[in-house]
Amino acid sequence: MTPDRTIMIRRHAVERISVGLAWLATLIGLAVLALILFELLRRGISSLRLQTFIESTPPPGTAGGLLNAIIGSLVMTLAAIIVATPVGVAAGTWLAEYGRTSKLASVIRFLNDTLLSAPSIIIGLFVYGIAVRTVGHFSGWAGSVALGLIALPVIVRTSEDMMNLIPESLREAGMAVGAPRWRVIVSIIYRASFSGISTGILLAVARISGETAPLLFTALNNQFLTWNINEPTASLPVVIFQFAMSPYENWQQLAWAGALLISVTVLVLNVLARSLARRSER
Amino acid sequence: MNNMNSTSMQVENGRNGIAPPAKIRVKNLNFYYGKNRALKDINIDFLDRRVTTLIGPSGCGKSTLLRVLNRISEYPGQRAEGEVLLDEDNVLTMTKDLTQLRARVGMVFQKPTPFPMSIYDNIAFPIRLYRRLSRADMDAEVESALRRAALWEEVKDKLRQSGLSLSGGQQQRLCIARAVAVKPEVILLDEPCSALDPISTALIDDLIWELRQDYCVVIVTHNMQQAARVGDFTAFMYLGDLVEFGETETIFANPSEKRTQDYITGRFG
Repeated sequence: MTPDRTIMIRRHAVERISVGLAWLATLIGLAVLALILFELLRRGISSLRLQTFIESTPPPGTAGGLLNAIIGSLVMTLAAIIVATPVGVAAGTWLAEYGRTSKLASVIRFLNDTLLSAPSIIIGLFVYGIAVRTVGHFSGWAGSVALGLIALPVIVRTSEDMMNLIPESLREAGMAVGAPRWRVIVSIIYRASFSGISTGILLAVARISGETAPLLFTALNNQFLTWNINEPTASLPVVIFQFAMSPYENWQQLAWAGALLISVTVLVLNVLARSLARRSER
Repeated sequence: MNNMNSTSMQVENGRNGIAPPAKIRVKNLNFYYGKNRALKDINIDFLDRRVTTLIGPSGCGKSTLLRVLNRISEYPGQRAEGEVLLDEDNVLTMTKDLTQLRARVGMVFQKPTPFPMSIYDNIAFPIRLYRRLSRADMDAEVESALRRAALWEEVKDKLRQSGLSLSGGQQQRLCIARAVAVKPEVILLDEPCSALDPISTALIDDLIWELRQDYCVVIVTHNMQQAARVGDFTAFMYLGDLVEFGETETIFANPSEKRTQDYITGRFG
């Protein structure tokens, strides 16, 4: 059959316009990202020096670094992930392996998605209510609780999704050799979805390492280096927030350095997560 | 036309003389997915140390029948009536320890399903579920299972490599080795060669013929040549009915039902 010429011409025109619009949208998105990264690198690198990593935040006008904020962020993030990972993976496991299509599972899934999209400032306020007001002071562990609550739904969701990707035949194969359900999950499903679940955890770390709002209400800030998270604790995002808004030149520079540090960390985590995910596809 | 659906179809002999006893007796089995009746009054005996192949067009119930034998799939809303006797035990009424049942009735699936672990551990994992063995004993068990599946020569130098690194045909033989390693009494194979090339298929056919010496083997297949090659007995199923059951040669050369003949000669299905 010879196609009608006018239909073909129209089809090609529509195709070209659609592809053109898609390119334009991509360019706009990438341009914004490039501008941000470029500005961040330009300002951040010039403010980065050895001092940034070995000294704590200074008073206005004097030299200093971000050590207290870096340590605070690391400790709080680590504590949050250590608690959120087992809980999140266990919940994801229940949803994927036991709850499945049950009513309770869909309720939990819905609540988890709600928590996933809850504004982080609400979570900060909530933790302020339960972990700051009750003990009477701000603390690093309250910050960890808030970060953990933000990481949790991410981990629940990705663990469930990753376990759902495992074909049913592998579960049946496990049961066919006489392995009990829990054994199939621990020895087979977790192995098969290991890189997927790790990816989810890394993405959760990336997500919480830039959170500011929940820390303002919980960990607050600390001018001095502390390893004791029972005290108020500094963190990179909060320091950036405070220093960037300040009128002092040296504070603003440190804010740029901190912003660069966070961005690089998140970037590295994302690249790691991607390569892990790619490994699991093979 | 004689109605063979509701009467038990006994067969006297296999390919080699005197018939061994029945390992699994299916009596008046009805199976429902919700309201859909997937198996209708099935009566069939699977003999020990014989290969029985189940053939029939897609959706005829052959896989359902196979999967009832070790109760591998439990869908919501499914229901089974009748009896499936493994020796003296009714498979359908077993309630708690289905792992015990599956240790007795092993299964190999349509797509190769190696576990995400080394070749060695693929075999050792099921063994460890039942027995505590010394390192040397475990090595011996793994080797013997791999030899039984005609895979040992190909993998003996790379036992620590992932089972997923093997070719499709090797993976399927690994799954057979894994099933054998548990030392079951019955081995079920659900279209084990549908994802394999003809050479791998021929290898597996030989293997099935070997397994027959020690096990009751039940195999679902869409491949008529495979059914003719490996089966002592063949059962033809259609729309949930067991239409015809008998010695493979009889079924293929001289079927008593027109539907069987039409299916075997490729006129439908």
